[in-house]
Formats: sequence, structure tokens, C-alpha cells
Amino acid sequence: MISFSSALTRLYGLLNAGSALDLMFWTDAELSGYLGDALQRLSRAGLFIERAEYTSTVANEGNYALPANTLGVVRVSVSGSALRASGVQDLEALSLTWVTDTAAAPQRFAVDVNGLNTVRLYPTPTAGGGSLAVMYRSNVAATTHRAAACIEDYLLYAALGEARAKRSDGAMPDVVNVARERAALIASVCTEYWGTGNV
Amino acid sequence: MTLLDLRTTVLTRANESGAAGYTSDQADAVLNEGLRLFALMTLCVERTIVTRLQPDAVWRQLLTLLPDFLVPLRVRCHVLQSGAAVSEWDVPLWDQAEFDELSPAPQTVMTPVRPCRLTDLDALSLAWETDRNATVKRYGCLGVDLFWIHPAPSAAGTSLELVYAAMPTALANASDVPEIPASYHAGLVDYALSALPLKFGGAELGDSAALFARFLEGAKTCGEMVRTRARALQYDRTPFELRLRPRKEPAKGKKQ
Repeated sequence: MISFSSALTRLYGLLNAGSALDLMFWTDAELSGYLGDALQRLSRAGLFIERAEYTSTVANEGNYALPANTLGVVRVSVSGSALRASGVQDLEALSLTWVTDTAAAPQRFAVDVNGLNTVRLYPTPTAGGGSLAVMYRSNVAATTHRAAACIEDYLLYAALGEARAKRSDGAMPDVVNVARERAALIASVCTEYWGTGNV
Repeated sequence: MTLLDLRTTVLTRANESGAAGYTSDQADAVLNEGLRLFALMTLCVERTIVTRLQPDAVWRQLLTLLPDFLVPLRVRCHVLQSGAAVSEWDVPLWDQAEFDELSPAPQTVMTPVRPCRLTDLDALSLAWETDRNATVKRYGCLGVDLFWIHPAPSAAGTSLELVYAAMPTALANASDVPEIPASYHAGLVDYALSALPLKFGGAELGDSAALFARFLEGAKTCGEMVRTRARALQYDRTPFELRLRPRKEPAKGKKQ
């Protein structure tokens, strides 16, 4: 489990502060922002994959909202049956009436039909009650999350690099370079192990 | 080396101990940081667990079960079977109760579980999630901990033996010994001495670059050893290939 509070405590030490009260050139919110930015960069690399069986299909309804923190859809299934990923062009090539086509069970899904936050099932299911499961790259925004402890080290170095790069009397270009290099090293190893290259 | 040995060495070599310099806590923190980075790059810390599978459970978030999980290395399926023995004439033994034979002792049958990708399973069958069998045949892992098996067992009695690369246990007590091979303990001192000056920067930080490079060199050597062993054991995952140096550019003037 990684937590911002633990990373912040370590960061205070590297910024020569005992606590948030001792910070001279930064605020606590600013440092938390650096940590959050770093975590989002890892999220975009696809390290955090979630699978949510979050809703049931509704008869004659093809559009379903994706979970709020979805960055990209990896896989969609209905009642344990995987749907094939498709785009609007595929669906149009498949059937000119794809918008109104219906079937008992959907066979494909598309995420480019109705904005980025909606998944479209094709054909539109005529029966409801199927369990819709989405596997997706999650944009982790929480201040605590399930992850190996080394990811907290990445957050620490990424935030240290940003903090020391701020134009202030606390700026240290040499520390910035080293911190960013170490963050990049950890990120490259983590992405190699856990990135979504091998779906 | 114990944590006390490592800490003492770090503070002595840093020559900054005392109120104005580095504290024991700071030394311990960077030693643990180096330990984590070393284990992450080399996958040299291995653990094995046997866990019972819940019926019908295809998906699992492994970090909730194993907080130190990094990547899976090998998976085996254990299925408890009774009366599976067969005589040399292919007749099941213990099938005639009237002979007052003893009940056969349950046997645990162990079978390897092969790694696979989601796309492989989807290509086999789009409804693979609904397949059920007492013996698990395939597994996969995506992201930091999303783990799946195929087919999932339909009843209790199946266990999974998971060999995995783990984050080492943090060094907390003076007598704690790092879980990485002893010959690389000195590398942790190098890492600590290169990480401590990040607090102050300046020439001290610049001088520490060589120590960090030496730490990485040790990690690379250990990683190669672990990789060779992993291949020999036919593990499913080899350690990350360290790509620390940029690819060499061809010398100017030379023909390609």
C-alpha cells in the first residue's frame, strides 16, 4: 500500500523540513500536487488495471457509462462472455443499420461512439440483466492505493524533482537532475513489469 | 551485514553524523529504499505460497492477499483427489467395497499452470470466464496485481502454489539482515551514500554519482545471475533487462 502521507513525511526530510510547518518555499498542498501528478503519470502508463462488474445491462439500451476514473478500456464482457473491441467504422462496415440493430446478447463494444466516458454495446441487447464487466486502466486519484512500495519511492523522487525545480531560493538544479533520473529509472522498471503492453 | 552494521558504515562514511548531519532514521530510510530498488531491478527475493481457490473466482487482486507481491514466477495447481490410483491393468483400485479394502488416502495432484495473455484466452473462447474445472490450466497477470485463472474451479479443494518475486521485508530492527544476497549488501551502503546528499545537493551530491553507478553495476550483475537461474528453472518471468546506458551511436565517418 502506498500513501501520500508517508511519501510527504519522507519528502519533508529531503527538503530540510521536519514537518509541513517548516516548509519555506512550498506549501503542503503544492507537494501533494506533485505527488498526485506523478501518480497520474504512472496511471497513464497503464500500471493500475481495475476490473469492475459495476452494472447490469438494460433491455434495448446500448450505451453505458464507464467507471468515473477510466483512462482506457482494456476489455469488456457481459455475463462472462468477452466482447470484441470495435470502432464506429467497423460497425458501419458490418451493418449500415448498426445503430438500431438488436440481438439477445451483444457481441462487440465500441468506445468511440458517444464521447470518452461511454461504452456502446453492439448489437443492442434485447434482454437486460446481464452483468457488464469492464477492465480498464484506472486513473488513480486517491491518496492511498494498492501498489508495491517501490512506487512510493518513484512518487518521492518525482515530487522532489518538481519541488527543487520551482523557481525560488529553494531551487537546486543538481538535485532536480538526480531526482528525475531516479524517478525515470524506477518508472521504466515498473512500466516494464506492469505496463499494459502485454494485454 | 545487519542493519546496525550498514547504518554505522553509512554514517561513518558520510561523516555527517550528529544533529547537523544525517540521522539514523534517515540512514535507515535510504538503506530500505536501496533494498527495494535492488529487489525491483533484480527480482532476487522469491517467496512461495499455497492458497486455496474460492469456487467460481476467476479474478483476484493479488496485493490484497500478498502485500509484497511484484510479479508471478511460476504457478502450480494442487488438486486434492481421492481414489485416483490405478492398478497395472488399468482397473481403478479400491473400487470393490466388499473386499474391505482401506479407503485410499487422498492424493494431491500437482500440475503446472501456464501463463497466458487475455487475448490468448479470448481467442480460445470468448466465454472462457464461464469455464469450470477442478484443475487450473492457465493464469495471467496484468497491471500491478490483477490476476486471473482459467478455468476457475467450481468447488472447493483446489489450491494454487504461487512462486513470486517479492519486495523484501523492510529493515527495522538493528539485527535485521537484508534479504538480498550477502555479497551485494555493500551496494546498499553505496546507494545510501548516494541518496543522502539529495538533502543538501552541491558537490557532495555530484561526487556520489559514482557510488550510484556502482550500486547499479551490482544490481546488473545480480540481475544476470537471477535471470540465468530463472531460465534454468523455466520461470515464466525473467527480470527486467537493465537499460541504463543509451544505445551506442555509430562512430562518425563509418559506413553503416
